[in-house]
Amino acid sequence: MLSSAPTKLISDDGRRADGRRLDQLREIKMEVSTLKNADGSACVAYGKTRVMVAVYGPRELHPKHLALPDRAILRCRYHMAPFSVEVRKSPAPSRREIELSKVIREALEPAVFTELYPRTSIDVFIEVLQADGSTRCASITAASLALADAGVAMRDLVAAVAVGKVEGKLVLDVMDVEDKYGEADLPVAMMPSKKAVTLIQMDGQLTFEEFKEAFNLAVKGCNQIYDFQKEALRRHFAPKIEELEGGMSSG
Amino acid sequence: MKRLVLPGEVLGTIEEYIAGKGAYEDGGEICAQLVGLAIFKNDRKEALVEPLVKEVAVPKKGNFAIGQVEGVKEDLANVRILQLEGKRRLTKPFLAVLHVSQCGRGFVKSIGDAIGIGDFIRARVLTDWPPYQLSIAERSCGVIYALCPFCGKALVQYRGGLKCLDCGKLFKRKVAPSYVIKPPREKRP
Repeated sequence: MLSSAPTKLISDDGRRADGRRLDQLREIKMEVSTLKNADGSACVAYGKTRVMVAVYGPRELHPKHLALPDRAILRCRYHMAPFSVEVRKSPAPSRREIELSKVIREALEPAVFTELYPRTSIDVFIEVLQADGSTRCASITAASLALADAGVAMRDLVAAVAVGKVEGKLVLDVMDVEDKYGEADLPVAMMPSKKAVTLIQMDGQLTFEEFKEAFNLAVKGCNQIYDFQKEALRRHFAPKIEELEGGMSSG
Repeated sequence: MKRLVLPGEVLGTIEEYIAGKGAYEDGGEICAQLVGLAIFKNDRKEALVEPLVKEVAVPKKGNFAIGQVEGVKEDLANVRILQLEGKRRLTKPFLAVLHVSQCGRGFVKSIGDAIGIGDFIRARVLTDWPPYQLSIAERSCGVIYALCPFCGKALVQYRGGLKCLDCGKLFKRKVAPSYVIKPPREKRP
């Protein structure tokens, strides 16, 4: 059964359909090194949106004529699982998926030192397991974690979040229902410690003042997500440090 | 105590350190490139990051590689690099070439005197760029495992070459000391 449009997306007391405040993120979960066979992997959940990313490489590129003599090429494949949405999605790559693959690649490229790995490819496979809005943002966040896990040299982690306009109000981290029935959507990806934006898109209409406010809200959200990313990496690598320190003291 | 650093984290300024391995300079600051432990070498004024994940598996000059011979021409062999020693598992092999002049310390008349198709070899990488060139001239390099091209049985080390214990044929090879199947001990009368 398909979900129908809710009568009210923001209640009188300023709460959203899922009970969040306007500037509140959904529950964020992040895990690193979830796949054994990939060089790097990560699993990220923004509320009900769940994304799994695997990174392979840098590795030899085929077909070889695509190789660049001075740097690696980054290849992204964004894919939604057939069971990720309410109505079964065809597993074949759609126009939207091809476009999002390109957009995500361009959001990640500024963060990666591709010049350190000439004539190779870094392959990023993104699988959306469950879609509830902001899948591109969750994908970028997860992909940057997976790249860091793969040991690929990076300028900074990339954190992404979407801001939307719903019933005339700006909301942080839009979910599916807000995306569908809202007035605007502004996904932003950035390298927080470099204060550099790597992706900004806008769907719908915002006034200039609203845009400025929405952008500032997105920056705030990205900084929060960046903290979650750092925590996930530290949590994953903490046992290794203890192991090293234990080895050093016993040795 | 070593400090865990993440990509983008500031290690110091350019007045304090120079960027070593795993670090880079950006706007007057030295930042980490990798997830790892920050190391400050005060004698060399260098800040570097010791990665906590195994190094990216890309062949570099001086690395030792384990590969399989794919094809042998008159003076050149194509080798598929399957593993780089000290680096993580390769998810896709790299292609490399081995020239006859790199098959031994002395004169090697034909590349078939040093290696054969299907042999697994340990070789040193000579170049940083593809096509990666290999050398098995060093003592520690050469064939580490081979099968008999006639009967398919594993060959054993025999008087500087290889021998098939099944069909008795002898093969000229540049055998590495780490060849996996040693000759069986002869029984004393």
